[in-house]
Amino acid sequence: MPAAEDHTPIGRRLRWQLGLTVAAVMLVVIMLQILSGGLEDDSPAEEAFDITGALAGEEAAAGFARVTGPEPLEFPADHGPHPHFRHEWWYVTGNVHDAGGRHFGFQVTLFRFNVAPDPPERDAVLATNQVWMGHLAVTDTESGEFHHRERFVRGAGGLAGGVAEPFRVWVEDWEMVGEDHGMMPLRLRFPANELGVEITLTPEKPLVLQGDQGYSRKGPEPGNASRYYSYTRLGAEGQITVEDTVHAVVGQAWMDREWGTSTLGEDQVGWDWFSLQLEDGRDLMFYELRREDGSMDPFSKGLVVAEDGESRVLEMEDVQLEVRRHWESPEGTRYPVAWRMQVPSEALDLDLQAVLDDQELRSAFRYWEGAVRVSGNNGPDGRGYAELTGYAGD
Amino acid sequence: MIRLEQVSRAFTEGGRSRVVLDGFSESVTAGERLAVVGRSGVGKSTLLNLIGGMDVPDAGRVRVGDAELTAMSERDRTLFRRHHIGFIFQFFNLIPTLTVGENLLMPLEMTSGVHRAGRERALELLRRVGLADRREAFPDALSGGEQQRIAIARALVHAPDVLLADEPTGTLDGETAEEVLALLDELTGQGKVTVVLVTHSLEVAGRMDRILRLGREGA
Amino acid sequence: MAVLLPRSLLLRASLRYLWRHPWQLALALLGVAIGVAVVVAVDLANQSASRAFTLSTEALTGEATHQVVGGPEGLPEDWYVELRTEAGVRPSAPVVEGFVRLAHEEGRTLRILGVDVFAEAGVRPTLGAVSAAVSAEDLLARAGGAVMLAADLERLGLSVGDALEVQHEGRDHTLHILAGLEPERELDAVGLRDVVVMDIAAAQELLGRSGRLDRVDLVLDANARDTVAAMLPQGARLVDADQRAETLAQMTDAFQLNLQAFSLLALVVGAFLIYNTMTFSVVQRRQLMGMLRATGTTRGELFRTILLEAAVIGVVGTIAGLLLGMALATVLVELVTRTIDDLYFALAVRELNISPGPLVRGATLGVGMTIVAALAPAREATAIPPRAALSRSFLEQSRRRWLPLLAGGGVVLGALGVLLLALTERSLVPAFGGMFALILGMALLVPPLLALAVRGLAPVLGAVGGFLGRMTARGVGASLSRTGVAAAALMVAVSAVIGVGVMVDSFRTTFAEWLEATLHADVYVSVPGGGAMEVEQRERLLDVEGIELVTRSRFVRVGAGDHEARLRVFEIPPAAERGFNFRAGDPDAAWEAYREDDAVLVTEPYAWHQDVGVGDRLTLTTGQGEREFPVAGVVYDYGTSEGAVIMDRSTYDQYWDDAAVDSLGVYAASGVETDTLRERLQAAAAGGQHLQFQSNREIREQSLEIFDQTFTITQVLRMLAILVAVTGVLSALLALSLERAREYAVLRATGVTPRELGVLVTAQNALVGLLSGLFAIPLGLGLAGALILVINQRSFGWSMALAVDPWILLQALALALLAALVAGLYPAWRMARIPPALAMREE
Repeated sequence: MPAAEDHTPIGRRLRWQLGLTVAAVMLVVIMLQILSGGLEDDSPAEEAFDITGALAGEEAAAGFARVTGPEPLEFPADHGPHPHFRHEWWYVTGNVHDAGGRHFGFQVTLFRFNVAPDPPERDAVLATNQVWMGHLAVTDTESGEFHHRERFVRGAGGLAGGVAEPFRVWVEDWEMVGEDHGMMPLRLRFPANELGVEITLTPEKPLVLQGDQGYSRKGPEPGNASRYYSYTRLGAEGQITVEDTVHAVVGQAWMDREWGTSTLGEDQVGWDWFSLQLEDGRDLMFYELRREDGSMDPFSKGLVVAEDGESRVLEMEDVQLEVRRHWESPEGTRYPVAWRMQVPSEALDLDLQAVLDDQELRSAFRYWEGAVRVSGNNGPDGRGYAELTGYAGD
Repeated sequence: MIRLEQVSRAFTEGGRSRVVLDGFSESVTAGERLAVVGRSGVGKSTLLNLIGGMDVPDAGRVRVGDAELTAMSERDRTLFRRHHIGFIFQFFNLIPTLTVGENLLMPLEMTSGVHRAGRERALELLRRVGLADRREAFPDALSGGEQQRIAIARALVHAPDVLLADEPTGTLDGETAEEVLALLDELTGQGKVTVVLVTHSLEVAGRMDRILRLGREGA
Repeated sequence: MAVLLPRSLLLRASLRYLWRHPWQLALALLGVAIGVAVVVAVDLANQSASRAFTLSTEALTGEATHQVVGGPEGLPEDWYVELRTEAGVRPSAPVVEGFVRLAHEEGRTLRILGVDVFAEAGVRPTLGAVSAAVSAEDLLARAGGAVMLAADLERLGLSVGDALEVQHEGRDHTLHILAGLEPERELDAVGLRDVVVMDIAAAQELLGRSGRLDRVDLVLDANARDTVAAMLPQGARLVDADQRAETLAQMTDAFQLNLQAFSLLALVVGAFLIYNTMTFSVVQRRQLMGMLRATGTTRGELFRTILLEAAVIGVVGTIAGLLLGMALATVLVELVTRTIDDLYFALAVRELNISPGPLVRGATLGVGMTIVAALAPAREATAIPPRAALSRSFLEQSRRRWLPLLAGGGVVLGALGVLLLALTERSLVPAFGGMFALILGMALLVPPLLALAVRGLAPVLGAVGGFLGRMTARGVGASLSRTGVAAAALMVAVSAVIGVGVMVDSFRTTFAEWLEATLHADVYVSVPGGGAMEVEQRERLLDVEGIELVTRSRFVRVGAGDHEARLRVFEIPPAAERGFNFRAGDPDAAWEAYREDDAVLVTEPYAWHQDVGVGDRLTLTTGQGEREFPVAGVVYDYGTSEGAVIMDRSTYDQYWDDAAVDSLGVYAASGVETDTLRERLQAAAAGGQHLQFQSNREIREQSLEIFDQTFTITQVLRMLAILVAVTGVLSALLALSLERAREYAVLRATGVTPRELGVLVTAQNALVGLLSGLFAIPLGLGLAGALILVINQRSFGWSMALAVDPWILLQALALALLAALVAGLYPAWRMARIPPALAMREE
C-alpha cells in the first residue's frame, strides 16, 4: 500500500507542494519499510475463501463423490488426485537435524479442493472447479522461530495439479515429484524464497492403509469418512533454507494421503492429531475428534506400526490423552502444547512436548501444526508432529 | 418676481425629521437684491434650492416670475432653471473638464445656442471679471477668487432673471472677497437682475437692498 | 460590523468608510470572489480529475513495479503459467482488460478487469480479498461472475445476485453480480469505480481473449526483473509500471496547464478590480488623508491602513471566492472530465474532491493579489501632502506624469512577451509567461492610449455633441485613474474573448476541413463501443452489391520504446489516399515507401510529442520482437492529441499475428445511393454481431459535436473572465460617477436635465467600452496567434490555420460596448435621478 495518502501530482504544481509531497512520500516509504521489515517473517494472515467449509457440512456435500465404505485402493493411480472428491491432501511432516544436531521440524502439504461438483462447460482453460492450497512450515527449534507460507492456486492451465504416473503434484513451483516412476522415493521441492525445503523421502517402512483398508470413518454418517493411507517412516535427506541460510539436514518424515468429501460429522469441531516416531522403531498415529461439548468423539482412532511394518488399529479406549499445558496465541486462541499419552496395550506412557509453543499457521485456514518431542516415562523417546484444528475463532 | 407662499420643508436626517421651513412666506420684487442671513441650519440654502427649482417644498407654493415651480415637473423646472436662473455656489462652481471659456459658454449652448452675440457677451463678461487671458485654462489652474469670478460670469452669461448665490465669498480671504463682491455689485446693481444671496456675513448682506433674517421666530 | 471594529481609530475610520460605500465594497468583494472562485474551481476540477486518474491508476496497478505488456495479440497464458511454475516469480498477477457498454445506458462504459484473485494478494490486496467475499464456485467455476464496488451497484440499481447486461464488441453478454466491494482504502473506493472485477477465465470468455492475457503485473526486484526480461515472449515488453502511468498522466498535463492559465486570467482581471477600488477609495478620501497627514499621521501609518483595508477585502472576498469556487467546481469537474474523456482516456470522476491544496493556493493568490494590487494606491495615499483642501487634478496630473512610463513599460513587457513566445522551443511555461507578459504590456498601454484617443476625439465629439460631447471625451481623459483601469480590465477580458474565440474558431474550421478531406468512404462500419468485427460479418458485408471498394482499419496500441503508441493499421486502395494531407514528406514517395518498404506515417501530434520526423526510424515492439520502421511522412490529423502511427495492413500482417479488423470504409459504386448501400449493408449484417453504419456526414457531425463539447470548458472560462471584467467596469464606472457627483450636481443646477445627464454618463461609459473593445482587437488577435501558433502547437501538437471571422471581432466590440453600457446603467440612472440639491449637500 505505498502512498495511499499521496496522490502524485500531475500537471503543474507549486513548488512547495511538490516538496511537501516528496517529503510525505518519503515518510510513507520509510514507515512502510519499517513495517514490512517487522512483518517479513510471516505470510500476512489474510482472508481467503472458506476452506473449513470444505471439510464439513453434510448439506453442502451434495453432488460430490463420497467415501462410503472400504474399497480396494489402486496404486499408483490413487497416489494421484481424485478431483471429484471435495478435498484431498498430500501431507508430509518431518523432524530433521543438521550435521551439528540442530533440530528442524518441517511441514509441506498440498491440498486440493473441489469448489463446484457440477461445473459448467467453459471455453477458458483457466476456468476450473479445482482449487489448490499449499502450506509450507519450518520450525527452527534452536532459534525458536516458526516460519510458514501459504498459497492458493487454481488447478487449471498447469498452475497446479497432480499426475499419478509419473508421480507429480504441484502448486506452482512447490511440488512433490517421484524420483522414479512411482511416488516413492519422493522429492519435495519447495524452492527457497527466504523459506524453502528441498528434501528427498525414501520409505523405511511400506505404505500402511489406515482404518478399514484405507476407509477411515470419522462420523456417524457412512459418508463422514475419507480414504486414508500413510507412509509412517520415511528417511528424509536434503536441505532446509531459512532466511537465506541453507541447512543440510537428515532425519525422518511421515506422509499422510487423504481424500474425501465431508470428513467431519455435524457436531465435531476439530481434531488433535499425532504422528509419533519412536526410537524403538514403532510409529504411532492417533487422532482425537473433539465434539462441540468438549468430549472426545468415539470415532477417534489411531494406528500402531511395528518396526517390521505390521500395523494395528487403535480404538479410542486404547489411548488415554491428557493435556498438560496450554499456550495462548497472540489472538487469544488456547492450544494444548504438552500432553501425556498412555497406550497400555503397547506399554507406552509418553510425555509429548511441543518443541516450540508457537507453531500456529496464521493463514487463511488457521491451525496449529508443529513438531513435538517425545519423552518416554515408560517406553522409548521419539519425535513427532501434532496437528490441532478447530481451536481458532470460527 | 419671486413669491413663496406658506412653504414648508422638512428633511429626514438620521431617522429624525427636522423642519427647516414651516409655513414660510416671502416675496422679492423684480430687480431687488435680497440678502438672507441666519444661523446654520435655519434653511438659508433650502430657500435657495426651492427658488432655483432644485428642491420642492412639502407644502406651499413657489413662484418665480410667471412660473409656478411647485406645479411643474422636474424636467420643466430644470428647463426653467436653465433659462431663467443663474447659480453661484460657495465652491465647486465650475466643470473641471471644461476650460474657463467653455464653462462660460455652456449656459448659452443650453439656452439660445452659441451665437456670435453670445460669444461676444461671454468675452465681454470675461473681460469685466478681469480674466480674459485665462480663457483657455482649466478651472483647477485658477485661484479660489478667480474661480468665483468666473462663476459669477458663468451665472450671468445667459442673462438670467434671477441670480442665486450661496455664500459666494465663504472660502475667500477678505481682500479677494471684496474684489468678488465688488464685481457682483457691478454686474447686478441697478435692478439689472433679481438677486437672492445667502451669507453669514452682515457686511456682505449690507451690500444688498434688503436683509431677510431667518431664525426660529422668523420661520 | 461593530465586532470587527479595530482599536485603531485610523483603521476604524477607514473600515467605516468601506462600510458606508456598500456598492463599492460589494463590487470589490465580488471581483476578488469571482477571480478566486474561477482559479479555485479550475484547480479543484483539475485536481479531482488528476486524482481520479491517479487513484484509478494506482488501484488498477496496485503494488506492481513492472508490467509485462503484450502487443495486439496479447500474451499467451501459458507464459504466465511458466512464470509461476518454472520461474516462481511472485507476486505476479495476470490481467485481462477491456471495456464493455452497459446495454441499458447508452454511451456508458465499464472497465472489465479480469484477474486471478489468488494472485492478487501481493499486487492488489483489495482484489485479493475478493476471494473471501465470494464463493469460489461462482467465481472460478461459473462464467460471467462479476464483482463491483457496492457504490457502483447502488448507482446501477443492482444488488448481489442480479444480472448485468453488457455489450462487448457488438455482442450481448449477461454477467452475474457476485458481490459488492466496500474497500477500506479510499484509493480503491475511487480507483475501482466503473470497474467490473471478474475472474480471469470469465473475463477471457467475455472479451474473446481465450488463452491470452493483456498483461502481467509484477512486483520485481532487480534479480527477478532480469529473470523476467530473459523469458519475455515474442512481442511482449517489460515496462516500469510507474513510468507507464506517468506517460499517461503527462498527456493531460498540457491540457490542465491550459485551463490553469485561463483561470489565472480571471484573477488578473480581478486584480485590476481591487486596484481600482483601492485607488478610488484613496482618491475619494484625499482631503481626509491630507487632513490626517496635517494632524500628524505618518506616511507609513497611512500606507499600512490602506493595505489593511485591502487585506480585509482580500480575506472576505477570498472566503466568498473559495465557497463560490467549490460550487463552480462541481460544474467544471464534469466539463474537465468530459474533455479528458474526449481527448485522452476514459475517467470515472463522479464527484469533486475538495483537497486543501487548491484552496490554499486560491486563498494565497486571492489575498496576495489583493494586497499587491493595493500597493500602488497605498503609495499614492502616502504621496498626499499634509494639506486639507486639495484639488483632484493633483492626483490626475501626477498620474499623467506616469503615462510615458506606463507606455514604455507596456512596450517593453509586450516585446518581452513576444520574445518569450517566439524564441522558446517546446516548453509551455515560458509560452504562457509570454502570453501574460503580452497581456500585461497591453494593459499598461491602455491608459496612455486612452489619453491619446480622447484627446483626438474631444474636438470631434465636441463638434457633434457640443459641450456634453466635449465633456464626454474630456471626462474620460480627465479621470484616467479610473477609466484607464476599467478600460484595461475590460480590454484584457475582451481580448481573451477574441483570442480564445478566434482560436476555437480556427481550430474548428481546420478540424472540419480535415474531416471533410479525410472521410471519403460513403459508409463506415464499426462495432459500437469499439472492438474487432467478426470475420463472418465482414464477409457478409463484402458480398453486398454496389460496393466500389473497401478500406479496412485496425486500431491497436503497441510498444514504441519508452511509450505506447497508437497504431492505426489501414488497408487503403490508392484511390483513397487523397484522404491524407502531408505536413512533411513527399506524398508520392511516402505512399510508395508506405506500401513497399514497410514505412510508416505519423500524425502531426505524434511527430511533435515524440520529436520524430521524416527519415527517422521508429522502433516498435512487434509480434516478432522489436523492429525499426522508417517514417515516410507526417500527416495532419486532429483525431487524437496523443498522436498515432499509421501503418499499411500488409506491413502489419507481416510483423503481427492479428487478423482483426475494427472498421470498414465502404465506397459505393457509381450510381448507388449512400442510403441504399447502407440499407443493404445493414440487411446483410442483421442478426449477427451488432454493428453501426455511419455515413461520412454523420461522422462529421458527430465529431464536430464532440469538438464543441470538448471546448465547452474553454467557453465557460471565457464567460467567467467577461463576468469579472463586467464587474470591474461596473465598479469603475460607479466609482467614477459617485466621484463626480458634485460636478454633475453643478450641471443639474445650471439646468442640465436628468436625461441629458444620463446621456452624458452613458456616453462616457460607451466611449470607455468602445475604446477598450478597439484596443482589445489587436491584443485579441495577438493572443489568438499565440494560442494557435505556440500554445496549442506545444500542448497538443496540432497546427491549424488562423482564421479570423470578422464576426468574432464585431461581437467582441459589441460585447465591450455592451459590458460598459450595462455596467454604466446603474451609475447613470443613479446620478441622473438624484435631486441636484441633495447632490450639492456636503458629504
